[in-house]
Amino acid sequence: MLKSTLIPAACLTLLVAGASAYAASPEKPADYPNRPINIVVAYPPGGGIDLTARTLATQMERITGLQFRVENRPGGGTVVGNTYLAKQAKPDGYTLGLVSNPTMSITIVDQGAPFTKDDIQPIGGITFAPVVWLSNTESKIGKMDFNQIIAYAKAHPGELKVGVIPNGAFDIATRILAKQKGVEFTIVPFQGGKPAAVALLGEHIDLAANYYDEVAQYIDTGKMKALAISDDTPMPQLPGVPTMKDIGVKMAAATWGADRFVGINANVSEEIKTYLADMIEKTLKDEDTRKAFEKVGIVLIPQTAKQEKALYDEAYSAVSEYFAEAHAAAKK
Amino acid sequence: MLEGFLNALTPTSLFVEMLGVVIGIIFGAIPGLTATLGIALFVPVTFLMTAEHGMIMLGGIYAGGIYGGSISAVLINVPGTPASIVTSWEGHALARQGKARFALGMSALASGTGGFISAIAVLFLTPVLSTLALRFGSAEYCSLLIFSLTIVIVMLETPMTSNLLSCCIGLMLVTIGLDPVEGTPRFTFGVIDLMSGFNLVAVLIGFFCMTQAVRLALDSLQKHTENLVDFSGETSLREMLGALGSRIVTHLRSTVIGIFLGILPALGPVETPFIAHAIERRFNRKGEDFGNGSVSGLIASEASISANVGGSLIPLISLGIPGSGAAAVFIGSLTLHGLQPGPLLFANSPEVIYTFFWGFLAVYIFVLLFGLIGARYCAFVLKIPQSVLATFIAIFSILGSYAINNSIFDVVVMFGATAFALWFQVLRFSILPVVMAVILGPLFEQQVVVLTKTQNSVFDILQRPIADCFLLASFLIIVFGVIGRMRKKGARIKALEGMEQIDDA
Amino acid sequence: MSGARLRFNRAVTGDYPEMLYFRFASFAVIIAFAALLASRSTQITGMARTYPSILIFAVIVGTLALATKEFLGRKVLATPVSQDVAKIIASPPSSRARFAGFVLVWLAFPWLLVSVGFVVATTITISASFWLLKFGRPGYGIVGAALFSLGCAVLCATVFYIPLPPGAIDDWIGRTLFALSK
Repeated sequence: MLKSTLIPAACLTLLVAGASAYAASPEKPADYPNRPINIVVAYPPGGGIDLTARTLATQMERITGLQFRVENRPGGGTVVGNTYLAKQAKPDGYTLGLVSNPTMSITIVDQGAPFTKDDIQPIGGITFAPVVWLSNTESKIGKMDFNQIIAYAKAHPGELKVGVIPNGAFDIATRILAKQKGVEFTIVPFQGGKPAAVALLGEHIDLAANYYDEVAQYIDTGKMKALAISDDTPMPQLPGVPTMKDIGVKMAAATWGADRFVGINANVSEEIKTYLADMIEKTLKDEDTRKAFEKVGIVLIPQTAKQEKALYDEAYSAVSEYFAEAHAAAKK
Repeated sequence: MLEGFLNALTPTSLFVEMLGVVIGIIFGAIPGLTATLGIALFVPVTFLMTAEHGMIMLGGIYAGGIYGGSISAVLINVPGTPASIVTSWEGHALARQGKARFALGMSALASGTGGFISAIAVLFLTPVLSTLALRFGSAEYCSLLIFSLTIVIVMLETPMTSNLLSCCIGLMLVTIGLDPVEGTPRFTFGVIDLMSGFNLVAVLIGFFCMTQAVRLALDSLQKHTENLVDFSGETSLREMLGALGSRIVTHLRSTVIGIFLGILPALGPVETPFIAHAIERRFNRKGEDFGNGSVSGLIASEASISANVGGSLIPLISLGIPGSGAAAVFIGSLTLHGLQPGPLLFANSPEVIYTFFWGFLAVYIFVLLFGLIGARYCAFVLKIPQSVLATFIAIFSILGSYAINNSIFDVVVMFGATAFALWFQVLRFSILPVVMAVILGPLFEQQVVVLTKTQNSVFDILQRPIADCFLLASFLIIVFGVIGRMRKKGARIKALEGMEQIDDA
Repeated sequence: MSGARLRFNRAVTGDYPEMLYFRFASFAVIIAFAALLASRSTQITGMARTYPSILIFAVIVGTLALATKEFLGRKVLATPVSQDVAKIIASPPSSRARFAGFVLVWLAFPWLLVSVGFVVATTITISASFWLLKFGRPGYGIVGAALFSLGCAVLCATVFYIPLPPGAIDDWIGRTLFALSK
């Protein structure tokens, strides 16, 4: 009995000392954290989200002096991991999630994920990556720019094959694009961005949708050509590549792509949420953090908890709208 | 390249190589803890090292893990890692014949040399071979998968119709999950954990590890418990080299198959030994009893696994494409060290890559050395009482299947797979067509979907020479398989009739 | 089934005609499962439905064919009982009970894991498994099981970062290690 009261007390003293040495945050919750904080990733180790989480964990440890652990819970196209974050893990502030949107919104709206949008609350945005459409520079359409390809697709309906991941941002952005431009693509479903990129390199398909960091090397070596991005603001890494605004397509801004943010169970106490949001903001503002992310090929676009919440709400309504329309069209 | 060679021989590098191999062997030898899990768990540890040492360590854990899997496969008939399933048939049968030490030595020798050859291929042929990964479109994958399934269905001794049925049952089971066309849940009955289907590693642990725990528990309750394996037989290096020398064609054939399947991004070390073993069974002219302690079969399995690991590094380094779950972890680890695998890696940081390549070569020498010198100390495993063995295989099977995705559901899947395997055994159905179908099924459906979307007619598919070769080979295997079986059946009926005549007389 | 056929079966299957019923029951289970999937496949469309539908059809037809063949042809009826089943049947009732206990203890383990946490669940289950399999010294078994569970829990928390299902003791280990690492 004596022991059990002594240990937390000792912890607390150590913690207070630790906290004052690293971060002078006034609203630090009492006896928190008293063990490592987990960052849940709903993907297997090795992918883009996993890398983002691991880099964030290292940088958070550096800035805050606390311990962060990455916990992979893949399965069900992110539903397993995100359900764990939203429902199954105790709302005690020791489980954060690195969430990717609109993927998560799609699972809620269309795939019957057993939690709602408001079960997860964003407490800091890390980056947004738009969808990039690519062609193989050696193929028959390799020399064309975006508008020429659209013209070609109009003349040859259904001939151009576009590789996407079914029911994800790549798929939906491509469908919105094709619908508004009045062209018909043959959409080829792949299980992941890499297999589609390989099929494009081997000229088994004509176009592919992917994220910049997954294909940067192929663009730099001249094997692939970036044609357009699914956002209204140009990407600094891809100067001169037209945005949706440039080519006259109306698409919700900063939505169809990968918005990576840190989420937490909404039932966690406000005190802890604010504390963590503060810590994340502080970490992401740091110059060395930016460099560390750049080293793994991620350009930071930090958002505060409030900004990220707005983005999250917008993305959710854009996804709901898309599926409402798609289902209505399917019924006709 | 020379600089890389010297870097791989510094004391630190040598230490990291050895450490990796030893950790890998321990991890691999424990049933349930797989080689892939081993490297995934050690990724954080590699951050403490330089990029090249981290990679060498992961390479060592992986190569060691796959060899370690063979140790438990040979000694207690439990594949320590899914890649050693085939090794357990041949190796354990050899061990039961009193050749445990020989089997352990042979698997180290075959695996070490196979890995060594593949590492040389990686060093010198990466630019040439990497284009092969790109030439494989959906038509080629579909035909290769049909070929692989055919060869297993035809080559097994159990009746071909029941093999075909088991294969279809396996293919049917893995359609549960998100469908590859629309990405919506299919046959999941509202269970979210079923949305990604059954986890393959959990299923394999259930099929091959947990079933063995149940069997050992049963054995330990018998009054007369027989010794698992007699470990007394001595084996000289000369004898092993002789056995390998006389099967050099087998070894090279399996190594080439291993490298080839490794280069293909979708086929990893789990499926490779099945295919290599089945091909060997078809083409081997030594008249060995495959599946019951054939040395050629053991060599085919071990050489192809190690060669596969080397082969999968080719697209990984040159194109940034992972060939398996393990390769994906390698890519993640490289990226976290600030190195992006892909076409620019050779140009930007050749020293890291060459150090890693040479280190990888050295890793296989350590595996070889351990297998030849250290394997005799593994005999202690056989002194453990069967009750303890059964208990620990059970706990590690559960922990291993839990740790893949940190999911209790995967443990339930593993139990289900155990029950399924035992059920099939009682039914006298072969589980292997199911295993192949479960491993290859998801890939097969994905490629069929891509095929139907990208090819307009059957004629288009027939214009692809690689695909045609595989289809033709599958057709010939079926024809010869059926003829061979009919002959055997004819002979058996004749023999039976002869016996009846004797009875009548 | 006629008495003569049953006697024939008894002769060729090694005195266990139940095996035959078991086979037919198994075929029925396979067909029922395939039919269940088939009933579910009405909810999906297109290629996502075609591929599994072909397989479901193949499984049902294949199983029916096999069952018919076994029912009509005598030769295939000669299915000897598997070695493991023979062992279970041959063993005395006490061994059979212990074996059933072993299976049950391990089946209950995941449930126990979630309810009382890793360290307690693992210690109990391993000790029980040792006892059921008649491991020589029960005292050593319990101590060994406890040490093993604690060792695993500490390794998972410090080196491997595997989040084990938590219970009171596991939480305490987590907090203590955190305090020590400060």
